[in-house]
This record gives sequence, structure tokens and C-alpha cells, in this order.
Amino acid sequence: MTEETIVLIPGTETPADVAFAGLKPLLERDHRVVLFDYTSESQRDLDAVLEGYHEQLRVAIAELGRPVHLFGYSLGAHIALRYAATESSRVLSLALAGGWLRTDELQRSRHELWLDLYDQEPRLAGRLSHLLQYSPRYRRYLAEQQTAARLTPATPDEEIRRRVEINRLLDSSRHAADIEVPTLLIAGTADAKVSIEAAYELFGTISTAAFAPMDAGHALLKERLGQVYGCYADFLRGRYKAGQYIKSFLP
Amino acid sequence: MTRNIHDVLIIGAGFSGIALASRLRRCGFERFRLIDRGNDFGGTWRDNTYPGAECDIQSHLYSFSFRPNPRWSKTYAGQGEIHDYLTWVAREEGLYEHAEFGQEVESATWHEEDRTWTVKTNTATFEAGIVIFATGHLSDPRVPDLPGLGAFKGKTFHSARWDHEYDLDGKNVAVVGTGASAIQVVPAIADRVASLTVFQRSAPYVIPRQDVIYTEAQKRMFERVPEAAQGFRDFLFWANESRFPQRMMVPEFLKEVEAVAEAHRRAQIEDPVLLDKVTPDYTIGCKRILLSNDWYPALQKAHVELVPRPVKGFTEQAVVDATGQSHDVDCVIFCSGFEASELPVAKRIRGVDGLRMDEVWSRGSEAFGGVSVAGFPNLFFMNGPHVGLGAGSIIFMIETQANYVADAVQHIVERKIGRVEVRSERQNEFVEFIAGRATGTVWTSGGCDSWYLDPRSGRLTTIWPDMMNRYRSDFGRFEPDDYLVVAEPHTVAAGKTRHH
Repeated sequence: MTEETIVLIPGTETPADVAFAGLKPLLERDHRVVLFDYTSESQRDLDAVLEGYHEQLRVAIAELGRPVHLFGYSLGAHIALRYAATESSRVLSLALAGGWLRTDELQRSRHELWLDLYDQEPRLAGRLSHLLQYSPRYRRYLAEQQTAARLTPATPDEEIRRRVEINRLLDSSRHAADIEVPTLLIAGTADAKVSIEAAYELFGTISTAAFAPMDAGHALLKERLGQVYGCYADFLRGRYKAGQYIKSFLP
Repeated sequence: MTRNIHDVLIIGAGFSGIALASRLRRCGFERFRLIDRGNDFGGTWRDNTYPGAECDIQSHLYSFSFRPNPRWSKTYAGQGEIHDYLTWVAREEGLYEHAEFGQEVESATWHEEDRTWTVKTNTATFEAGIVIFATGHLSDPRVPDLPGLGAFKGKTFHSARWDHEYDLDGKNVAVVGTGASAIQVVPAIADRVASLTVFQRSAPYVIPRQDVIYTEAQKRMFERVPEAAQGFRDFLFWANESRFPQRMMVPEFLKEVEAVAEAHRRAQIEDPVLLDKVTPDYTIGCKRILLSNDWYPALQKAHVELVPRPVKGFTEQAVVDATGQSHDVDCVIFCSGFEASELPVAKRIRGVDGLRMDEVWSRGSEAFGGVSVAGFPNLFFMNGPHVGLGAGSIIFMIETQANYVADAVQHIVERKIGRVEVRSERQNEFVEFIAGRATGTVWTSGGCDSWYLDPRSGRLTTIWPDMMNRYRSDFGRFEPDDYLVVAEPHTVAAGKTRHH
């Protein structure tokens, strides 16, 4: 085991222990792994909320007292990206799964529909998100798994609502251009929440990035846990170069 | 009779031998011979003809990536269909011209002076620069050495050597074992026999078999849209990878599969006594998880009895269980597994200075990447130590090894290298890696006594204790730096086969 530490940052709707239930123990065989959860206060404006998340990460990494590998998923990718751009001396590497550069019109309309549904009935917003979380292929074949996983929509709360509002307006262009640490981008080619084009845009912007597209929806860690882990493990071993487009093998 | 042969000898014509031979031919390499003790291609799927024999991994995944079969009849194909598939692949890949059957290897000996292997079989002697044992690890049936077996006057046979001439109809039959073969045999023969007594050492975990019979439309879809078959295969592969944290005993993952197994038991069995008998006492995944919809129903038939005790011995007409109770039977079928941890072929291999493989492996088999052993130059294993799986398709591992070994063969032959031998420090590092990865997994900590562990050392030697894709990442291609290389060529360029 190395002494290096990986900090895992979850996305909008799922706490870190659930989001990384599979990835964390796999990584812990070779690294120290820290789960980072973030939260906000209800009265603050959105810029302050995002800044608050960033500050919480800054404090958490300062407490660790050493540079870390950052792995951010979805909204967590933006938080990780922002930190890596502004505190690069404290970041050994950056991995962004299901990330994007800036929210586009399609994403914005989805978030607005989500917010409308939430205001009517939070459970409905949870169902919308759940419906778009997985790739059509995964949903179609799920029952053919030997131990079929049960997929159940969660009911969002006010914290998640604030995060969705932040998602509506996200633009990490400036921070992405400043990234200097080795970076891995993992993207789902069938992601209904973050188009593959949005991930391409991120790849074009981060000069140090290698890009790993996978045949999955936004639920990369559910649909392709093994592929995400394998790709990330190889990245941590220095197997990818900046600018590399990583092709998956056909099993 | 003397004939010229080629640089490479492959021993074994099952999935592994076919994968390697196909790979070599696809790389344009023709100078190899393939031998097998059986009478055709097919390996374990040629030999295991017992009633009910089927695959436990979905056929769209349990098949070669380079020869997809859009016409699998159902999710989990039966033995005959898989055997037909393998002979079809061998034909399509042009392997019959390279193959010689009825060749049981008696010895394989390394000769340092001319850097060749001499392989003696029951009828011939082969010389080759490079030898590959693609003999598998579930190929030699294991029959427990129990007191009185020789005196038993009834019929006995192992499930992997099924006697189809013997008529089971109306007989009193005992099945020894409740593993992967037994749970297929018992439902398949239950309705033919007068009575069936099943001896169980430990109860297996059984989950539902999601077995779908493909319609003609679905088969045509897979034919017309190969991408659909590939997409399905990809899904199955990565779904299997996602199960690996179960084997690491990650609680959330364990709970999920335990719940599936428990629900299956309770849905199929009402009798609390039987339910107790079939409830395992170890952590799920420690032994192979079995898939069956008809195992529990078969155990509930009036003339079927599950004895939750091991067999202690035999009398002339009975099986005696661990409590000393006798069970009169006409026939005993051993579903007692295979010589998995100690590969029987190891006794027949002599490397540098006459070193015997089974002596080197006296505390358990060890091979760098599961393919190479220090002291045994120019020899590779396929589907040997370290590469069995608890959650996935062995064909993926076999294809990875086929690519690795074909890469090695080309490297050796093209550069006219006489001798490659894995560096012992690399082998030791690899063995340490395996031990580290095995720590805390269900195979070493799950509280069961399984064939995955070497009985002499208690070490995990048969399983790859990581995700399948990690094996491909580390052993996807031959790395010469892992080997000691002697450049001068071996002298088998005009090698011979001597038939005696």
C-alpha cells in the first residue's frame, strides 16, 4: 500500500459512502481513501453555496496535511476541478467522472423541469433524475444479471435542491484551462444528463487530460464500476499520457 | 515413424488450446502442433456429458470474442451445444490440420543442451522449442479415497466420466457431493431412479437461474446486428465485474447477493427441516455460487433424500455416512469435483536439472501471471494456477493468456531466441501480490473449506483475486523484461515426432 491519499467527492444526489460503496474498497487495497461530503446552509446565495463547498474541501485537505489525488463525480467533478485549479500544489492528480465544462441549454431545461417537479412534489423530481441516470442498455439488460440490482428512486431534499440550482449555472471554463496536474476524464457515451459532447469539451480544455469514454449512462460507478476502477488504477500508475484517448477493450 | 513438427507444441484442445491455436494462426504463425488425450476438440465440454450439464456463465459471454455465436439457444447453453460450438470454432479456424488426438502426455522433459522439450505420450515422442500446457484445472476427476470403495459391488462412476451404457432407470442411486455438477445431475436423473440419496458435506448457496430461451427473432437480431450481440456481451462482462466487491466481502454487496439466495431458498422450500439442511454455514461466495431453479424442488421429491453428512466409507452394497448409517444403493455417482489445486500434469513435467514441477509446487502451485514458472524455460500454462474466477467468464482470462503466449511465441521465434525463463524475483513478487490481494477476500476469510485453497498450505492458488480487467491490464501482452533471455536459438527447427 502506498501512503498516497485519494479523496472521493460525490455528486448532487448521493452521499459519498453510497456513491463510492464499490470504488472505495477497491482503491483501499492500495491507497488511503477519504470520503468527502459537503453541505450548505439554506439562507446563502448560490455563489456562496458553491464557495462553501470549495472551502469545506480546502479545510478537509489541509487537515490531511499532504497532497492528494482528487476524484470527483458529476457536481463533485466541478468541486474537484475548482480546487485543483486554485490549489495545484496540493493535488497529485485529478480524475473527473461524469463531469462537464459548462452547463448547456439541454441540461438547464432538465434542471428547470426538475425544480418545477420538486416544488410540486419532491418525489417526482427524484423519479425524473432516476429515469435519466442509467443508460437504456443497462436498464434493458438489468434483469439478465445473475443478481439483479434493485434500482429505486430517492426523494430529494432541500440540500439537493440547492445543488440542482447550482448545476443550472455551472461554468468551470476558467478553472479547467488552469489545470496543470495529470488529469483523467471518464465519460459515459450514453449519458442522458451530461452529453458526451460536453465531456469532449472538457477534454479539449484541460491540456493535461486523458479521456476515457465508456458505454454507460451517468451512473458510471454503477454500470461500469470495474471499468472506472480499472481505468483509474491504470491512471494512478502513470499509464496514460496527456491528450490520450483511451479506447476500451472488447471483452 | 518420424515426422517433422514445428516450433510449438500445445497440449490440450479445450477452450484454452483452441484460443491459443486460433490466435497463432490469426497472427500468421503455423509452425505449431496441438495434441490432446481425447478424440476431438472440446476439453471439459467434450468430457462432461452428464445429464443436465450446462454452463453457469451466460453463453453470449462464455464464448470467444473472435467467434461470436448469434444462435445460442438460450442464456446458459447445454454441454452438447457448447461442444458443438467449440468444434465449429476449431473447424472455422483451421485447427484440425494442426491437431493430433489420442495423445496422453506421460512426460515432458527440458533439455538444456539443445534447448528443447521432449514430450512423450502414450504413442509418440514430440520435440518442441516451446511447450504450452493448455490442460485446464478442472480436467482430472477427483474421487475421494474412502474405505471400502473397492469392495462396493454396485456401479460407480464420476460425473465427468459418465457411463451412458449404465441404465439408471429404477435403480437406487447415491450422489456424493452437492457442488456445481451435483445440482445439475440430481434434477436431471431424479425422475428416472427408484430412489436418490444425496450426500452433502456443506450446503451450497443457490440463486435463481435467469435462463431465457432465445426466440428465432432474437437469434436473427443477433445475426443481423452483431453490435447488439457485442453490446449484450459487454453488459454481461461488466455486470460480472461489478459483482467482485461481493468477493471482497464489502457488506453492501454481500447483503445483496445473500438476500437473493435466501429469498430463493424460502420461495422454493417450506419444510423447515429441509430449509435448515440447505442453509449454508459460511459466507456467500467462499465456494462457488450455484444457479438452479430445479435443485431445491428435486430435493423435495418423495424418493429423494438429502443426507447432510459426508460419506465415511462403503460396504459391499451400501454407502456409509459420517454417523455410521448405511444407505443401500445400486449405484454411486461421484460429483466430487476435480484435482484443482494440484494439477496432475505437474508430476510429469521436468525442467532445468530434472526439477519436477510437482516438487517445486509442494506447497501449492505458483506461476508468474499464471503462465510461467522459474526453472521451466520455454514453457507456458494456460488456465492453470491463479486465474480461476469467482465472478466472471474464464474465457476472458483464457483469451488474455492466448494473446500473451502468442505474443511470447512470436517474440521468441522472430528473434531466434533459444530460451526464455521467467525471473524468479518477478514470480515471487507476483505470488506476494496474489497473497496480498487474497487477504480479506471471501475465499480466505469466508469460513469454508473450498478447493480454491491449496490443502497443504492453505494458500489461495487457483483464483485470480481481483477484477478480470486487472488481469488484462497486467498480462495483456508479453513483457520480455520479466524473463531471462538467452539469444542463441534452440535446435528444434527441424524437430521431430517419433512414434513408438
